[in-house]
Amino acid sequence: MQGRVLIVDDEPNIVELLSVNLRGSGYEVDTASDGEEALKKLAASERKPDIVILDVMLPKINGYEVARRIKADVETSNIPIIMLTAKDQPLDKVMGLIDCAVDYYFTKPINISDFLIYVMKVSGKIAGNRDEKTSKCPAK
Amino acid sequence: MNKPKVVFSIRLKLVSATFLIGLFVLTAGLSVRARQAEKRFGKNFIERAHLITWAFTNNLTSRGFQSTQEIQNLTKIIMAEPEVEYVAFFDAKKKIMAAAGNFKTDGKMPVSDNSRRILSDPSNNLYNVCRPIHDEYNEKIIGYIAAGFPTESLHNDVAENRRDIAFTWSLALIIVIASSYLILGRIISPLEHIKNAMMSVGTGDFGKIVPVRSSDEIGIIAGEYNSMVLKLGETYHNLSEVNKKLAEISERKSEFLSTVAHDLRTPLTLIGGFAETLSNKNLSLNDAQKEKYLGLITGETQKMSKFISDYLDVTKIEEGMSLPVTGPVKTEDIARAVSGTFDFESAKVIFAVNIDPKAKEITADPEMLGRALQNIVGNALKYAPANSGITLEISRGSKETIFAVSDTGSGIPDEMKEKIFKKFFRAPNDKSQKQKGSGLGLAIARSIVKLHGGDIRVEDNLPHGCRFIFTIPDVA
Repeated sequence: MQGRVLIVDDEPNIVELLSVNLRGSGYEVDTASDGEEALKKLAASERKPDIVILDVMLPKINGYEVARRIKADVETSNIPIIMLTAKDQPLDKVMGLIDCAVDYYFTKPINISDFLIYVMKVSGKIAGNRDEKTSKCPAK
Repeated sequence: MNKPKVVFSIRLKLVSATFLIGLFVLTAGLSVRARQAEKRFGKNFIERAHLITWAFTNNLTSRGFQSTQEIQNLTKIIMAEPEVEYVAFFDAKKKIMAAAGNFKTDGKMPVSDNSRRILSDPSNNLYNVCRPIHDEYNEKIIGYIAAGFPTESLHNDVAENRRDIAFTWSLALIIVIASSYLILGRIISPLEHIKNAMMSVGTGDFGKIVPVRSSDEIGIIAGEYNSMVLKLGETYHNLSEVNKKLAEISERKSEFLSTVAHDLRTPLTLIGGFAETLSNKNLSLNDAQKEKYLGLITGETQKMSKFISDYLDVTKIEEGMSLPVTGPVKTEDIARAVSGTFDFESAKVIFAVNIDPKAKEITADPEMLGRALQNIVGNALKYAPANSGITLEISRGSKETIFAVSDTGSGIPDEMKEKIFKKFFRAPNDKSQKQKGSGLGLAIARSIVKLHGGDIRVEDNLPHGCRFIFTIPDVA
């Protein structure tokens, strides 16, 4: 099954960059340019995305609040969130990772191929070479 | 701060010194005075004793000396004198002939007392005088007269004199202490002022000036102290100014590191990301996409370099590293240069210039002034709706030239009218903006206007839009 990604960023060029690369990796891409739009799209969609890529400084509702609402809603709380932002202060990371319980926190600038590997891993497209029963890496 | 405490003040020291000197001088002077008085008392006493005895020996003849009657008469006269203890007569062989008063010796002729001992020995309460009596030819001794004088009154006089002296001594000492305390206090009080002023300098207060009351050494010290503290205060002030500036620069540096670095993150991501995307053969991009991404890389690179050069410019201006090169400038040229920079036609905006004939020429740095105007007009254009107008008016104030750029856009809310001139400020949630600016344009404009000594502000342009106004004062 094709993975679905929701990209939430107000910078169209960033959206374009991420979209073209994720599509190239076989993802179905949906986008939102502000927090409000992102939440509306999430609530309206029949099939929830497998992962949300979220900027922090967004118009209307900021990224932290969007993440908090996604994680508070039972319908969407299990969707992994990757935060992608220019805010690099330790406090920002605490806000994102601890307060808003996002799954990964990336600061710009990013290396696209590295970022794609994370997206694939978090969205479950690649499961990782892990023994499901013991939850341990199998001995070679 | 630990303030030093005066334990033994200079005033106390000087008073003590004066006290000791006064004590010495007074004691020495008054004891000399007492000794002189006592000597005179003793001399008077002895002279009187000798005068009495001498007077009688002179009046006595050898014939009269043999008359008992005459001797008795003499004795009576002598005894009538005050303060005579006894009188006695002896013959040439020192054998007693007659005695009156309290004569207690067993008939022996007493010896004249040493007059020097009379004062030194207060226990000896009798002064004996014994004189030979000569005949009328003053040839041979015919007998002796002896008389005793009680010394009690003399000793009383001496004691009384000493009491007087002691009283004078104590009184004088009190006066010396009191007056020296008061006088020294007046002399030393400026020192107290200097001390207090110095202590307040210790707490960083350089404003205390010591009153210069006298032209003596203390007055000179006070005067010197004042000029010293003035200089010190100036230096302190200058140092703290420099310190403040350094702190500001340091703050600006960290501002650069956080804000600027932050602003460079997105373009860097785009440049690196699209470069990587273009080199990814698996994506099979078409030519239009490739061209678009190359354009984006070029655009982002230009934006970044513009941002960095803007930032460096505003920093240079703010730190005084770039100074205006002023000269006569034709306002018309400036306006033409500004209008030539922008493509008003494709934005469907009408740009109008209105120059007051009195404001045809000003003194300014043409390049900087052009830049300031460009940034303001560019800002107005960025927010201008289609089919609106932007007007540049140049007019004269009393002592300055006024530049006003009006638009009919959405205007600026009151709470942002100050903030928009701050560095890195960008209108929040701005949708009209296709490309984010550096957030430095208006900050640069303000720095340039300030550098020329003018002011910049923004006000509402009724019914719609806003008006940026700045002044360039005439060079005095």
